[in-house]
Amino acid sequence: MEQMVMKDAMANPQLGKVVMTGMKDSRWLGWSKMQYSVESANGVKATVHYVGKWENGVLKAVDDFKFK
Amino acid sequence: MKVRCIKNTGEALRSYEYKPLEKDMLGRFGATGYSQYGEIGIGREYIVMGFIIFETYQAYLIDDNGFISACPCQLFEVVDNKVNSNWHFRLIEKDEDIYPFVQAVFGYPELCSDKKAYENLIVEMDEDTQRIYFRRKMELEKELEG
Repeated sequence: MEQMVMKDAMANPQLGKVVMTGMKDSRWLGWSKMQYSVESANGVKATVHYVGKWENGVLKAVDDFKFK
Repeated sequence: MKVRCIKNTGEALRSYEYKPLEKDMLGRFGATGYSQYGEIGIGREYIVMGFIIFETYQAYLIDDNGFISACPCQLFEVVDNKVNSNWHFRLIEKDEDIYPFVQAVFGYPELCSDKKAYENLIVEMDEDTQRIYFRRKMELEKELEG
């Protein structure tokens, strides 16, 4: 399931939500931290965090996908 | 305070936006029309541990079977509107990393006294910070049992 969630997040990064803006990491300065969580039928959650660059509400770039 | 989840999609929040948006655009809730709130389940009730007052919206701090998240208030209906008498309030200072994204926090004491509480709970998912949340939640649950 986790792999499926990761695949979904990478293919459709607009599925996630912003959990933090204005990142200070020089690799992604000013980007936003995103979170995508899915719950399986048996109640198990899988969560992926990644970073996104938004400009005027439009997603321009994503990076650093990882499980939490 | 208790709330019940009534919606769990970014699409459900679109009617609360201040201007029309394309489905793939980020709105004021930090979500698009495609976003999914898998952290919460429709029909489930949650004990509210605090409010996170973001720059552009307000969220309940809750957990779903131990998974802590801050979700927009519009995704819930209020079941019990009485807030805990032990809640504290803190305005975020402009030199903090989470400013201006987060403007204020209101909830269990350590949510305010620990300036990194929001980041540690939601972004870093730090175990020590989570432990404090759940300890306070147990106290609250005992209080609600009466």
